[in-house]
Amino acid sequence: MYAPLKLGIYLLGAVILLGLLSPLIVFTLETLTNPGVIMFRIKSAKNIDEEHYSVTISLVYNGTVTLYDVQVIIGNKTILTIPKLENGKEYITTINITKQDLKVASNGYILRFNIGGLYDFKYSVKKVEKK
Amino acid sequence: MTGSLGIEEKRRDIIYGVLYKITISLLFLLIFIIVFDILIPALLPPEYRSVFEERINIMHLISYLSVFLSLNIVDYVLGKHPVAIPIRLLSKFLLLLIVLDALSYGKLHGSIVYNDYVISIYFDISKPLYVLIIITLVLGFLDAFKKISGEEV
Repeated sequence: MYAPLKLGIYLLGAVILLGLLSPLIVFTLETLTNPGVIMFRIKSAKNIDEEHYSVTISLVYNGTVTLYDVQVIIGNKTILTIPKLENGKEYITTINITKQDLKVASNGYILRFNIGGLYDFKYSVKKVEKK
Repeated sequence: MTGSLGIEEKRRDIIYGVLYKITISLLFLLIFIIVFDILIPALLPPEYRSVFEERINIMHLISYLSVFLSLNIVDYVLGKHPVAIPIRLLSKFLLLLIVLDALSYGKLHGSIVYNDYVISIYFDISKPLYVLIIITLVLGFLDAFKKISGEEV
Protein backbone atom coordinates (compact mmCIF):
# COMPACT_ATOMS: atom_id res chain seq x y z
CA MET A 1 0.00 0.00 0.00
CA TYR A 2 2.76 2.43 0.95
CA ALA A 3 5.17 1.65 -1.89
CA PRO A 4 2.90 2.85 -4.78
CA LEU A 5 1.89 5.89 -2.70
CA LYS A 6 5.55 6.77 -2.09
CA LEU A 7 6.39 6.29 -5.78
CA GLY A 8 3.40 8.46 -6.72
CA ILE A 9 4.60 11.26 -4.40
CA TYR A 10 8.12 11.02 -5.83
CA LEU A 11 6.80 11.20 -9.42
CA LEU A 12 4.37 14.04 -8.66
CA GLY A 13 7.14 15.94 -6.86
CA ALA A 14 9.54 15.41 -9.76
CA VAL A 15 6.97 16.63 -12.30
CA ILE A 16 6.09 19.74 -10.22
CA LEU A 17 9.77 20.53 -9.62
CA LEU A 18 10.63 20.12 -13.30
CA GLY A 19 7.71 22.35 -14.27
CA LEU A 20 8.76 25.00 -11.76
CA LEU A 21 12.43 24.84 -12.70
CA SER A 22 11.97 24.81 -16.50
CA PRO A 23 11.70 28.65 -16.92
CA LEU A 24 14.83 29.10 -14.79
CA ILE A 25 16.79 26.39 -16.65
CA VAL A 26 15.78 27.76 -20.07
CA PHE A 27 16.59 31.35 -19.06
CA THR A 28 19.98 30.39 -17.54
CA LEU A 29 20.99 28.34 -20.59
CA GLU A 30 19.94 31.12 -22.97
CA THR A 31 21.85 33.73 -20.95
CA LEU A 32 24.98 31.58 -20.79
CA THR A 33 24.97 30.73 -24.50
CA ASN A 34 23.94 34.17 -25.73
CA PRO A 35 25.08 37.23 -23.73
CA GLY A 36 22.81 39.44 -25.85
CA VAL A 37 19.55 37.93 -24.55
CA ILE A 38 18.72 41.23 -22.84
CA MET A 39 20.22 44.34 -24.36
CA PHE A 40 19.77 47.60 -22.54
CA ARG A 41 21.17 50.72 -24.18
CA ILE A 42 20.76 54.46 -24.35
CA LYS A 43 19.90 55.29 -27.97
CA SER A 44 20.09 59.06 -27.77
CA ALA A 45 20.37 61.84 -25.21
CA LYS A 46 19.34 65.42 -25.97
CA ASN A 47 19.58 68.53 -23.86
CA ILE A 48 16.23 70.06 -22.93
CA ASP A 49 17.81 72.74 -20.81
CA GLU A 50 20.97 73.05 -18.74
CA GLU A 51 19.83 70.59 -16.06
CA HIS A 52 17.53 68.20 -17.93
CA TYR A 53 18.07 65.62 -20.65
CA SER A 54 15.66 63.75 -22.87
CA VAL A 55 16.96 60.19 -23.09
CA THR A 56 15.70 57.45 -25.39
CA ILE A 57 16.20 54.01 -23.89
CA SER A 58 15.92 50.74 -25.76
CA LEU A 59 15.45 47.34 -24.17
CA VAL A 60 15.58 44.31 -26.47
CA TYR A 61 14.75 40.81 -25.28
CA ASN A 62 15.56 37.70 -27.31
CA GLY A 63 14.79 34.98 -24.76
CA THR A 64 11.99 32.40 -24.74
CA VAL A 65 10.77 32.87 -21.17
CA THR A 66 8.50 35.86 -20.54
CA LEU A 67 9.87 38.41 -18.09
CA TYR A 68 7.56 40.31 -15.74
CA ASP A 69 7.94 43.56 -13.78
CA VAL A 70 11.10 44.62 -15.58
CA GLN A 71 12.63 47.64 -13.87
CA VAL A 72 15.68 49.72 -14.68
CA ILE A 73 16.93 51.56 -11.61
CA ILE A 74 19.51 54.34 -11.62
CA GLY A 75 20.63 55.46 -8.21
CA ASN A 76 17.44 55.33 -6.14
CA LYS A 77 15.10 56.11 -9.03
CA THR A 78 13.18 53.60 -11.10
CA ILE A 79 13.49 55.13 -14.54
CA LEU A 80 11.79 52.38 -16.52
CA THR A 81 9.06 49.87 -15.69
CA ILE A 82 7.76 47.27 -18.15
CA PRO A 83 4.99 44.96 -16.86
CA LYS A 84 5.65 42.21 -19.41
CA LEU A 85 8.56 41.62 -21.79
CA GLU A 86 8.22 38.87 -24.36
CA ASN A 87 10.52 37.21 -26.88
CA GLY A 88 11.66 39.38 -29.77
CA LYS A 89 10.12 42.54 -28.36
CA GLU A 90 11.95 45.83 -28.36
CA TYR A 91 10.79 48.35 -25.81
CA ILE A 92 11.68 51.96 -26.60
CA THR A 93 10.84 54.83 -24.30
CA THR A 94 11.88 58.43 -23.91
CA ILE A 95 12.31 59.79 -20.43
CA ASN A 96 13.41 63.07 -18.96
CA ILE A 97 16.23 62.79 -16.46
CA THR A 98 18.46 65.26 -14.74
CA LYS A 99 22.15 65.80 -15.43
CA GLN A 100 22.89 64.30 -12.01
CA ASP A 101 20.96 61.09 -12.86
CA LEU A 102 22.84 60.75 -16.12
CA LYS A 103 26.11 61.02 -14.22
CA VAL A 104 24.90 58.34 -11.75
CA ALA A 105 23.85 56.10 -14.68
CA SER A 106 27.39 56.08 -16.07
CA ASN A 107 28.58 54.70 -12.71
CA GLY A 108 26.11 51.85 -12.60
CA TYR A 109 22.53 50.65 -12.83
CA ILE A 110 20.24 47.90 -11.55
CA LEU A 111 18.14 45.67 -13.78
CA ARG A 112 15.41 43.83 -11.92
CA PHE A 113 12.80 41.41 -13.26
CA ASN A 114 10.83 38.27 -12.58
CA ILE A 115 11.58 35.18 -14.69
CA GLY A 116 8.35 33.55 -15.85
CA GLY A 117 6.49 35.06 -12.89
CA LEU A 118 8.34 32.71 -10.54
CA TYR A 119 11.88 33.88 -9.85
CA ASP A 120 13.01 37.34 -8.80
CA PHE A 121 16.26 38.31 -10.45
CA LYS A 122 18.41 41.35 -9.81
CA TYR A 123 21.48 42.31 -11.81
CA SER A 124 23.44 45.30 -10.69
CA VAL A 125 26.50 46.92 -12.24
CA LYS A 126 28.52 49.41 -10.25
CA LYS A 127 31.72 51.17 -11.21
CA VAL A 128 34.61 50.67 -8.78
CA GLU A 129 35.93 53.97 -7.55
CA LYS A 130 39.71 54.03 -7.86
CA LYS A 131 41.64 55.56 -4.97
CA MET B 1 22.68 -23.47 20.28
CA THR B 2 20.02 -22.31 17.77
CA GLY B 3 19.31 -19.28 20.00
CA SER B 4 22.92 -18.15 20.08
CA LEU B 5 23.13 -18.62 16.31
CA GLY B 6 20.03 -16.44 15.90
CA ILE B 7 21.54 -13.68 18.05
CA GLU B 8 24.80 -13.95 16.09
CA GLU B 9 22.88 -13.63 12.82
CA LYS B 10 20.91 -10.64 14.13
CA ARG B 11 24.14 -8.96 15.27
CA ARG B 12 25.68 -9.54 11.85
CA ASP B 13 22.58 -8.08 10.18
CA ILE B 14 22.84 -4.96 12.35
CA ILE B 15 26.55 -4.54 11.52
CA TYR B 16 25.83 -4.94 7.78
CA GLY B 17 22.93 -2.51 8.09
CA VAL B 18 25.12 0.10 9.83
CA LEU B 19 27.84 -0.35 7.19
CA TYR B 20 25.18 0.09 4.49
CA LYS B 21 24.01 3.35 6.11
CA ILE B 22 27.61 4.63 6.33
CA THR B 23 28.20 3.74 2.64
CA ILE B 24 24.97 5.47 1.56
CA SER B 25 25.91 8.61 3.55
CA LEU B 26 29.41 8.69 2.07
CA LEU B 27 27.93 8.24 -1.41
CA PHE B 28 25.54 11.12 -0.72
CA LEU B 29 28.49 13.29 0.37
CA LEU B 30 30.41 12.31 -2.76
CA ILE B 31 27.45 13.06 -5.08
CA PHE B 32 26.87 16.37 -3.28
CA ILE B 33 30.52 17.40 -3.70
CA ILE B 34 30.55 16.29 -7.36
CA VAL B 35 27.34 18.21 -8.18
CA PHE B 36 27.89 21.41 -6.17
CA ASP B 37 31.68 21.64 -6.14
CA ILE B 38 32.66 20.25 -9.53
CA LEU B 39 29.73 19.90 -11.98
CA ILE B 40 27.84 23.20 -11.48
CA PRO B 41 30.99 25.40 -11.32
CA ALA B 42 32.30 23.61 -14.45
CA LEU B 43 29.12 24.51 -16.35
CA LEU B 44 29.34 28.17 -15.36
CA PRO B 45 31.47 30.70 -17.28
CA PRO B 46 34.91 31.21 -15.60
CA GLU B 47 34.08 34.71 -14.28
CA TYR B 48 31.02 33.40 -12.39
CA ARG B 49 32.74 30.38 -10.81
CA SER B 50 33.95 32.24 -7.73
CA VAL B 51 30.33 33.16 -6.89
CA PHE B 52 29.39 29.52 -6.60
CA GLU B 53 32.61 28.21 -5.04
CA GLU B 54 32.08 30.36 -1.92
CA ARG B 55 28.71 28.67 -1.41
CA ILE B 56 29.83 25.18 -0.34
CA ASN B 57 31.59 24.67 2.94
CA ILE B 58 32.80 21.07 3.02
CA MET B 59 33.49 21.07 6.80
CA HIS B 60 29.98 22.39 7.37
CA LEU B 61 28.60 19.63 5.17
CA ILE B 62 30.63 16.89 6.89
CA SER B 63 29.39 18.00 10.34
CA TYR B 64 25.77 17.97 9.11
CA LEU B 65 26.29 14.57 7.54
CA SER B 66 27.83 13.11 10.72
CA VAL B 67 24.68 13.99 12.66
CA PHE B 68 22.54 12.63 9.80
CA LEU B 69 24.53 9.37 9.80
CA SER B 70 24.28 9.00 13.59
CA LEU B 71 20.49 9.51 13.46
CA ASN B 72 20.21 6.98 10.63
CA ILE B 73 22.22 4.38 12.57
CA VAL B 74 20.15 4.93 15.75
CA ASP B 75 16.97 4.62 13.65
CA TYR B 76 18.24 1.39 12.10
CA VAL B 77 19.33 -0.16 15.42
CA LEU B 78 16.04 0.78 17.13
CA GLY B 79 14.11 -0.99 14.37
CA LYS B 80 10.34 -0.87 15.00
CA HIS B 81 10.60 0.83 18.40
CA PRO B 82 8.31 3.94 18.55
CA VAL B 83 11.31 6.16 19.49
CA ALA B 84 12.70 5.48 16.01
CA ILE B 85 9.84 7.45 14.39
CA PRO B 86 10.87 10.97 15.54
CA ILE B 87 14.50 10.06 14.90
CA ARG B 88 13.67 9.06 11.32
CA LEU B 89 11.69 12.29 10.82
CA LEU B 90 14.58 14.28 12.27
CA SER B 91 17.08 12.64 9.89
CA LYS B 92 14.82 13.47 6.90
CA PHE B 93 14.54 17.11 7.98
CA LEU B 94 18.29 17.30 8.50
CA LEU B 95 18.84 16.08 4.95
CA LEU B 96 16.48 18.81 3.78
CA LEU B 97 18.39 21.34 5.89
CA ILE B 98 21.66 20.33 4.17
CA VAL B 99 20.14 21.02 0.74
CA LEU B 100 18.50 24.29 1.90
CA ASP B 101 21.75 25.48 3.51
CA ALA B 102 23.73 24.72 0.33
CA LEU B 103 21.21 26.78 -1.64
CA SER B 104 21.20 29.66 0.92
CA TYR B 105 17.51 28.96 1.64
CA GLY B 106 16.60 29.98 -1.91
CA LYS B 107 18.23 33.41 -1.88
CA LEU B 108 21.32 33.09 -4.05
CA HIS B 109 23.57 36.07 -4.50
CA GLY B 110 27.12 36.78 -5.45
CA SER B 111 29.31 39.40 -6.99
CA ILE B 112 32.32 39.50 -9.27
CA VAL B 113 34.72 42.23 -10.34
CA TYR B 114 34.85 42.61 -14.12
CA ASN B 115 37.16 45.29 -15.57
CA ASP B 116 36.34 48.40 -13.48
CA TYR B 117 32.85 47.21 -12.53
CA VAL B 118 31.38 45.14 -9.72
CA ILE B 119 28.61 42.95 -11.11
CA SER B 120 26.19 41.60 -8.50
CA ILE B 121 23.56 38.96 -9.15
CA TYR B 122 20.64 38.03 -6.94
CA PHE B 123 18.33 35.06 -7.55
CA ASP B 124 15.29 34.01 -5.55
CA ILE B 125 14.62 30.30 -6.11
CA SER B 126 12.56 29.74 -2.97
CA LYS B 127 9.45 28.46 -4.82
CA PRO B 128 10.89 25.06 -5.89
CA LEU B 129 12.35 24.75 -2.40
CA TYR B 130 8.85 25.06 -0.89
CA VAL B 131 7.83 22.08 -3.05
CA LEU B 132 10.91 20.19 -1.84
CA ILE B 133 9.99 20.94 1.80
CA ILE B 134 6.39 19.73 1.26
CA ILE B 135 7.57 16.51 -0.48
CA THR B 136 10.05 15.80 2.35
CA LEU B 137 7.37 16.41 5.00
CA VAL B 138 4.86 14.13 3.24
CA LEU B 139 7.45 11.38 2.68
CA GLY B 140 8.71 11.69 6.26
CA PHE B 141 5.23 11.30 7.73
CA LEU B 142 4.43 8.49 5.29
CA ASP B 143 7.54 6.64 6.52
CA ALA B 144 6.46 7.26 10.12
CA PHE B 145 2.97 5.86 9.48
CA LYS B 146 4.50 2.91 7.70
CA LYS B 147 6.65 2.20 10.71
CA ILE B 148 3.70 2.53 13.11
CA SER B 149 1.64 0.14 10.97
CA GLY B 150 4.46 -2.40 11.31
CA GLU B 151 5.58 -2.63 7.69
CA GLU B 152 9.35 -2.59 7.12
CA VAL B 153 10.48 0.53 5.27
